[in-house]
Amino acid sequence: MIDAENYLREKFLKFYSRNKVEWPSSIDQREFGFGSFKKKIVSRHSSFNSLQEFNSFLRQEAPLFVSYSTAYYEKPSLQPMEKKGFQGADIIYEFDADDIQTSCKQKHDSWQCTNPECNAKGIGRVEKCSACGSAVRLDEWVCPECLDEVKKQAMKLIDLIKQDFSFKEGIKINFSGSKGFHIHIISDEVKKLSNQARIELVDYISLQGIDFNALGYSFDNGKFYCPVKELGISKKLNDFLRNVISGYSAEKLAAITGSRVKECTEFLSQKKAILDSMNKGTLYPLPGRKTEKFWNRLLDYAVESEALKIDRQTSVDLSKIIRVPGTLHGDTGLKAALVKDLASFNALQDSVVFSAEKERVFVSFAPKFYLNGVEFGPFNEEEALLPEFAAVYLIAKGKAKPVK
Amino acid sequence: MESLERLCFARKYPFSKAAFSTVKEMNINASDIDEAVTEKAIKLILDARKKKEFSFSEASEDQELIKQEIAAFPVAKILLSYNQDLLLIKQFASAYNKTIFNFLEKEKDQVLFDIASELGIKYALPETFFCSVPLLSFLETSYDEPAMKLVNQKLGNGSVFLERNDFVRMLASRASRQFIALMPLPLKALPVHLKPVALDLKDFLKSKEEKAFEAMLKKGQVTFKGKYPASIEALPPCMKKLYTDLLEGKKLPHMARFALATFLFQANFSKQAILELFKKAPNYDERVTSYQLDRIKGKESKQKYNAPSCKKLVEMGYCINECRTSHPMQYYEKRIMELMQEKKK
Repeated sequence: MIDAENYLREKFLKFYSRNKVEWPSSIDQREFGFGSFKKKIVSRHSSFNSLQEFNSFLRQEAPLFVSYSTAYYEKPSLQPMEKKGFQGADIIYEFDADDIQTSCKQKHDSWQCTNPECNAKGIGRVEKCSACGSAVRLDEWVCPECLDEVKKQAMKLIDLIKQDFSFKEGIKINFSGSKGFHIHIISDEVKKLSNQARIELVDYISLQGIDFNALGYSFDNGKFYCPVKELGISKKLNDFLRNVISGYSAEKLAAITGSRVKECTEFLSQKKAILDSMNKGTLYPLPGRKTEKFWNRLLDYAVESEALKIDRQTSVDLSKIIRVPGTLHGDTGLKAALVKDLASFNALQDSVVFSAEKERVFVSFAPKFYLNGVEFGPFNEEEALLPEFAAVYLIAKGKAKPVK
Repeated sequence: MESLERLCFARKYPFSKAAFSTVKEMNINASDIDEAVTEKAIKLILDARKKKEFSFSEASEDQELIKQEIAAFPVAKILLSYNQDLLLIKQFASAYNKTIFNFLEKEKDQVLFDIASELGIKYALPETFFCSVPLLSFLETSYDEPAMKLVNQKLGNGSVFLERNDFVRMLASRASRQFIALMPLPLKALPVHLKPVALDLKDFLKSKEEKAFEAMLKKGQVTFKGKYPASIEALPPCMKKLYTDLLEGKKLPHMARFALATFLFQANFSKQAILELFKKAPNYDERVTSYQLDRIKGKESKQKYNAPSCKKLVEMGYCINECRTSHPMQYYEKRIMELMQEKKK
């Protein structure tokens, strides 16, 4: 058997010798880090003077992971971090399929108990071992369904960035090469933003620290008021409430608000009055003393639904290094491809770079998975003849070994 | 503007051009600052320490007195800079913020817009709101009030739409942030003869509560274990801020209380000492706090919690200083060593 790391490095060398990476801008001010098989960052604090120098390094070394700083430094290779001379940073928002709840995870993910005495395993996602309650190790996969959910979130964020923040220039999107998308905002106006300002933007996107009173939703003397001047978050929440009133069934509304179905049926029979009342700044009352609890629960639900699930750490930690767009992801062999049109982008197809030439591999385990428009598997302790791109994918994931 | 009116304006708004030109016109000799001015500067600092707004002799029309009060502000900045106490500077900025807010609230709209221009804030006057400011300008200031968080604003098309009260809050916050950004002033530029005044003030300012707590530590009423003597003075700025907020009866968020408690345990403060401190919290419940402290210490569970790293504290928004450390304990241990060396001398 050939060693998985050497196999991958050979494949990556082939890729880098035929393809030039054109990212990032201001390369001489960026810090770089590299990883090997199953280790995303083995070394960091590297720097390059030009894209040419960077590409020549990639052609020589073919690292399995290539990351760079979204921050700009005067001397990016110095350490510790304070010596680098921070000059500013791009904004980066990261969405990951792992952070977004989708039903498909129950089909393609699996878990194994970390307690050696228990060692239970199962399909789907659990927080703790169902047999002994210990922590579990998750085996996570992606499919078109969960990546579509991530894409929807990314599209919502781009709308928000353009409409609410009015950042129209320098927005770039790339597939991470594994489970999500990165959205970059590269412009002089955001470069100098303070850490606190970045936290405020992240909180706005993820609806952290929301204060209903401050936004104009308040219960006073039996009346629940809502904002009439709708902008930003208050517009999003009011629109969400309108959608619930217009389109939700009484059963669903009852489940969200903890009310009786009969009450919700009666309530929803007055849709027009409820919507008119909202336009005048009042949330329609319910009989008895239920108004406050009902609308508060609905508002909480609105926040939960409208909050975008970005990775906070990636946006706030300015010393973090992230995947270089255009390079290969060492966990999948897929390209962290730049996305021109997110709506039509097919992550598990458009990021495939290796050929369809057949290769023999020994697969330890893989659920049914999709790549380049083809369905593969499931596999369990068996040899398989797979196209190069699927062989690289499974080997990079540590689920298969090359067979000569 | 009439002379008296201009002076009163300068006193209310120390960041204004009127205030700067008044001080300049007074032609103050840096090596011979009037004692009355110094006293008024100390009073400003004491007001801030007591969490009060600055109090001026507002009824007086005595121009000399008003000028002294105007000059007191830059002198207070000098005293604060000698003290190098970031918490005190923050308290001063907070009092400054409150004072300006209260003055601005009573001003005519036109004055607010003039002040905005002085502070470098661009604004527009939309029909349905008092005014709007560009998003990036709004973000240049950070706010203490949760209601002023961006997520609670009316934001659209890159502008934050504000009602009058929030605009006033933004102006006051911007003035106090601009003040903080320049503090402490470089020591080399400060008049030497104010240094002893500043040092006397530093000693005086050691708050009664801090003294009382340290006295309890000394008397063994609350205990600590470990290789170092527990010292409030050695706390890193972030922990000192949380500690002081607690002493002042502020309701700290859960994560802030967690960060402080884990840190104090790691710094070898006893559970008893930490409980004593947490008694000041407005939502203190001895049973709950005691249980939570046991959990943190690992008594009730296998998991023992350590204090968050500097990186985590930055992320949580509790870092208030650039200490060049990766963990608050590094600062604490270094400071303890320094204090022990100082005592030996």
